[in-house]
Amino acid sequence: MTTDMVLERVRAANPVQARQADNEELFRAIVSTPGDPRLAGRRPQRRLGVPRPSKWSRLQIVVVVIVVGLLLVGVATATYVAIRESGGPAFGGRLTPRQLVAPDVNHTSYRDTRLWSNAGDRLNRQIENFGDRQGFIRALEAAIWASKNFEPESHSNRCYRWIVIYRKMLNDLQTGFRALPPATESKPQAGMNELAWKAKRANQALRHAAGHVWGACVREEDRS
Amino acid sequence: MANDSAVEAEARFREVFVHLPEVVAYARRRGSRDPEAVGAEVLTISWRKLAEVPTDDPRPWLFATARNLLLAEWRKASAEDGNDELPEKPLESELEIQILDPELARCLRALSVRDREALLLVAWEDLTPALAARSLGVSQVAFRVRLHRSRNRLRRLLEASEGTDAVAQLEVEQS
Repeated sequence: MTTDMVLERVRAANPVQARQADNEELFRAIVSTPGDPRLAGRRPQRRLGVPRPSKWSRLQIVVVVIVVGLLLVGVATATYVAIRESGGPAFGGRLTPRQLVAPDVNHTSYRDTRLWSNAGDRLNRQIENFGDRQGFIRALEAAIWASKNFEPESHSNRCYRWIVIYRKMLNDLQTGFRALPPATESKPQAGMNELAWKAKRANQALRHAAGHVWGACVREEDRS
Repeated sequence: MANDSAVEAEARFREVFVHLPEVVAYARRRGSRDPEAVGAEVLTISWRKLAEVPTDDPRPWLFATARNLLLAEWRKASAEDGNDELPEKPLESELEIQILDPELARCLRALSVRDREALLLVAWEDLTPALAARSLGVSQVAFRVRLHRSRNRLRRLLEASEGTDAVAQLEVEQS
């Protein structure tokens, strides 16, 4: 006897065959009772009075949003290009060393080149330029020492006073710039624009102070 | 909107309800005292838990529910008969088998409940091994092993049908 024959024998010994009968009354009785609440909650209900937009309406909304977005991008780009071409206020990579670190009195060691091709590079360059300023002030001090105008080291001495002011402004600005990099790395462009404006304003003040230093400390015969 | 979901649920339950005769037959084959009541109870439960009932083939779910109800019925009957102690493992309890072939019935009873149920789900309830495995809550591989083992055991029992000693020996082995 094979196992298939065993199964056939069991099938043949089936004592009960399922009989179809009219059980409509039972069906009605069962469905009249509460059903599965999970099935009733499957479809989200929409609020009354807020009709669902049709497929075409939704498509139109999407198209309008895209067109408006493209227009805004186009206007912004055109404005940027127009400002650049007209030589207006410089933003981003258009800043030159002369704009940020303008030549101090008779100091022409700064290269008039476009150093800042990207934001991070610009920041580094600015710090280097402050290093150049340090070189400038050292040269200035050497000239002052030679003319003896630096002494006495008291605030009654105009030369000494302006040297102190100039050095403090320079140090404050340099410290401020060094505190900026963490913020500028996350948003380099925005950070650098802000930095550029601050640098420009600080540069004007520095130039003003440098003029005072020059006038107070350097003798006429040493100014050639 | 609520009416739509009610109509959908009713239509889906209609597909489940057509299996009522099979559930009643299942209960009757397993020796239920009131197979029609078991069938009605199973379908009522399926209506209340319609989200759990498989949509492809509800029979494994229905037979599993019927099996639980039959065991509850058996425990209740045992308590009414004066046997207050419930079996520790209800699934191992012996359900009465209604069968036409006395010799085959004796050999089937010699099998374990699990082996016998695996065999009968395929032979009488006409389930595929995959569906029968789902009804018993086991993997298909485990079910096929169990089915193969039960068929071999039943074959040996039938071959030794003349000698009831063989049956007794297997019963001893299984116990």
